[in-house]
Amino acid sequence: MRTIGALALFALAFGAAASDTDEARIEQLMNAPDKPAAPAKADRKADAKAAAKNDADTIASLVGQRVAVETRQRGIYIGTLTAATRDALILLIQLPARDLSYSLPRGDVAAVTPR
Amino acid sequence: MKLMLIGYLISLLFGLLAVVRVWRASTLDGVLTLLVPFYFIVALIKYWSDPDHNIRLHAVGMLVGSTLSIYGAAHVTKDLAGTPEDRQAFVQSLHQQGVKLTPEQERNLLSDDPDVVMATMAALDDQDGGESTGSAHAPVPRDAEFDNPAPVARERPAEVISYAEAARSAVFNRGRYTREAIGVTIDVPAKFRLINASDARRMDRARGRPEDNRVLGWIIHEKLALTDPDAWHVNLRWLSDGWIAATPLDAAALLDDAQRNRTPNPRVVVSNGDLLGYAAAPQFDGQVLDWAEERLLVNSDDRVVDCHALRLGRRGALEFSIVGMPTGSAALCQTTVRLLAERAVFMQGKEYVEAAPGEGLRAPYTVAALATHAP
Repeated sequence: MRTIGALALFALAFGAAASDTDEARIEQLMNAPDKPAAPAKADRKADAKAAAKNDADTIASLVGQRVAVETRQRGIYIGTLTAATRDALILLIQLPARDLSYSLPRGDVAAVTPR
Repeated sequence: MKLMLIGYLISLLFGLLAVVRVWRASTLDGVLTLLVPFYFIVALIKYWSDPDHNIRLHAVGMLVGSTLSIYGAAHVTKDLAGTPEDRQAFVQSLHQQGVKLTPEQERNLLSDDPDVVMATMAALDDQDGGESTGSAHAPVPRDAEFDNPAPVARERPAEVISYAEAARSAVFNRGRYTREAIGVTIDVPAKFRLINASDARRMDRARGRPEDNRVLGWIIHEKLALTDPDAWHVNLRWLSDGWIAATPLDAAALLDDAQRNRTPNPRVVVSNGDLLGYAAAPQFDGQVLDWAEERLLVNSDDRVVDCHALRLGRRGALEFSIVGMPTGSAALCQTTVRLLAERAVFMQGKEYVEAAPGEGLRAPYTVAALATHAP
């Protein structure tokens, strides 16, 4: 019974702390609204792994193919990879009315997978 | 008319003077003379021989005034009928308005006998009433606009107020917001304010947007002014379609489906533009579904982010959406809707369950369809 009580208290405290963190983050972002959010520390390890996985040669070999690009901020974009430079990946995204050349900063890319 | 008025004023003046004179003799008689009709006759007799309080002259004055007034009233018809020139002008104005008069009606209107003139005018009024009054006269043709008047409701302009006026009249709510009918409570964060559905609809109307019958309110940050049309806000909506089935969410497959779907049917509020990708891929933790879409606005090169977080319940979903945010504010947008969705709590028995409940409405779409806008 005590264990359940302790667990409930922990859950409440954890929830409140997480909520407070989000509120603090919103305040921080409100003060700098147009700057993209800094990636979390945990993401940096993932970035390192992703960088190793998607080295320049691998990505270059996908040029001309339809790919899915995942970003560090949980984003995902699908299109034809038209160019892969050291700074950016260029995707050609087909839209109902037109095609759009969409640039993704290389530093934001977490993974590139063929579709 | 004038004679009637003058007679009435003379009568009133002498009456008041009589009351004052009697009042000086006896307060009771004064009050009774003022309030009881014809009591002045009692006072007249009572103080007939009292040189200080008799009202003989006043009674004569009232009599003369009343006579003049009655005489004036008897001749008011003549005044209303007006002079021959007035009546000629009246007949002419009727012709100009398209009212067709019979020769007899015209002759009667120009008659010197005021009773005949008034009787003809009354007959014309009855004719104007036409069918509704059941008049025996033949209907007089009138112009088409008069015969087919536009409905009053169409003529009356809709309530149009400016965005600033709508914003100024909005009431800001803090703290807990409860909707008993839905069975949900939202603990609005300290830095945010909520305006209710009627205020939110007024704001939408002021912006010329169609009415959203699913809206429950707007939530805005305290640092933003509601009067600023460019300030962002969170749309709070209730999707009352029933329990929504959860399905596995494969981000790439969902995006593929969403982009291939040429006839999207969004259940959440979205910007008017084409989907470029997910700025935050859809994820569902068993209670809250959230995602962010990057869109290219129609007929423009501007890109915006729409953020959504839905707290699912047993009878529907509570939607928190921000639309049209600059792409650089995607993190702010997503963090805000996610925080608000986590602050919403359904009451016991109304919370989301994984398995379809035995009774109650079931939504004709899944969690995945919400993110792909599948029909």
